[in-house]
Amino acid sequence: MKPANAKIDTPERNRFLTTFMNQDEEKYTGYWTVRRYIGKGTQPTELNSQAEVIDYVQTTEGAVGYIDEIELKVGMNVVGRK
Amino acid sequence: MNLTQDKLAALYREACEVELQAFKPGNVSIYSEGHNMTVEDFRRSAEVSALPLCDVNYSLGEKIFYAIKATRDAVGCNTNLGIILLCAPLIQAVQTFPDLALRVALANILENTTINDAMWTFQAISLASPAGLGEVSNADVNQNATITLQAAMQLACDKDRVALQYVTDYKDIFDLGVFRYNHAFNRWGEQSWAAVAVYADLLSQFPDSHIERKFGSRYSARVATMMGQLSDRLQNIDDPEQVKPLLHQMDSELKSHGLNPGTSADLTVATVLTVFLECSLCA
Repeated sequence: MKPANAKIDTPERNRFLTTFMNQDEEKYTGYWTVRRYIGKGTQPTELNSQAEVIDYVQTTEGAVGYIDEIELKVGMNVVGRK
Repeated sequence: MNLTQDKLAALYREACEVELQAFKPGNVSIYSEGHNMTVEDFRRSAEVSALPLCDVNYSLGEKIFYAIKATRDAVGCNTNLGIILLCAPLIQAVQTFPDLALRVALANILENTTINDAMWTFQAISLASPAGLGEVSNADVNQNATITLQAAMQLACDKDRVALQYVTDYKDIFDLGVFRYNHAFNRWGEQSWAAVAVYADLLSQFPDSHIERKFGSRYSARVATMMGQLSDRLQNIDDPEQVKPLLHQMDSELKSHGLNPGTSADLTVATVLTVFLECSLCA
């Protein structure tokens, strides 16, 4: 799986971290620093806009991301809604 | 989790090296020496101060004094007083409370400093002879200590950001530095560039104590504006190498006026060490 994250300090990222991950930005970045430090992975790709997330998901095999529901396009698979 | 003395010394040396590898305008790094100090002075200082700083048998104050003494004996000038003052409580915290979260352990250490810690630290400060150190009634470093180390730091905290960390439980480091480091490191994957981001952010938000001790607030706004620009650039680029021309330009300007944001560099080392300790404790 190839997850995409929104850019830091964006409303969608903050909402995703709070609602789905039950984390704040500090915990999230700290988690990935430890993962990288111990050689067990790097954080997901960060994209600048919801349009970039949609493009990434539509053109990359195994990609998954999150967007506002109003941005949803025909043919996209929805994994979950909150 | 217990980190051995050798492991702690290695983490401390690594944190010092990362800071030297970071191009910090106005300060000493592998990109630009200055202020009559060399990168080798700082490397040697890190090397010789590591063992006393991490000696499990030393109290907090002894760690500080013997680390400064070793530095003085090796390089003959003050390269790392701020670094030692900030790193010693972090190391003491890990050694004393290995099962607590680092921030909680550190708060415990700071809250329980002693008059003896103050006495050793005053001797260390006198030995290091930092530029522009003033006197505060009740806690002149050239007199015997009569109050705890944290109480002494309280008296100095309005003019020294290192002292301020002792009374805020390292708020600047945990709330700003570590977060900025983690974000930049995860984005670029390079420790030295993450350290540059921390340094720029600190200077954009707080005046540097080392500069203000020498020049007052004359240059503070200019430095903050300059570093704010750098911080903004760093937040919006995918390849930090792109800012190198800007860093060279800022470095020349600051050094042409004799401006050395040394306290912010010290806080950067402490931030990097904090991240290393937290990662090692989690790992």
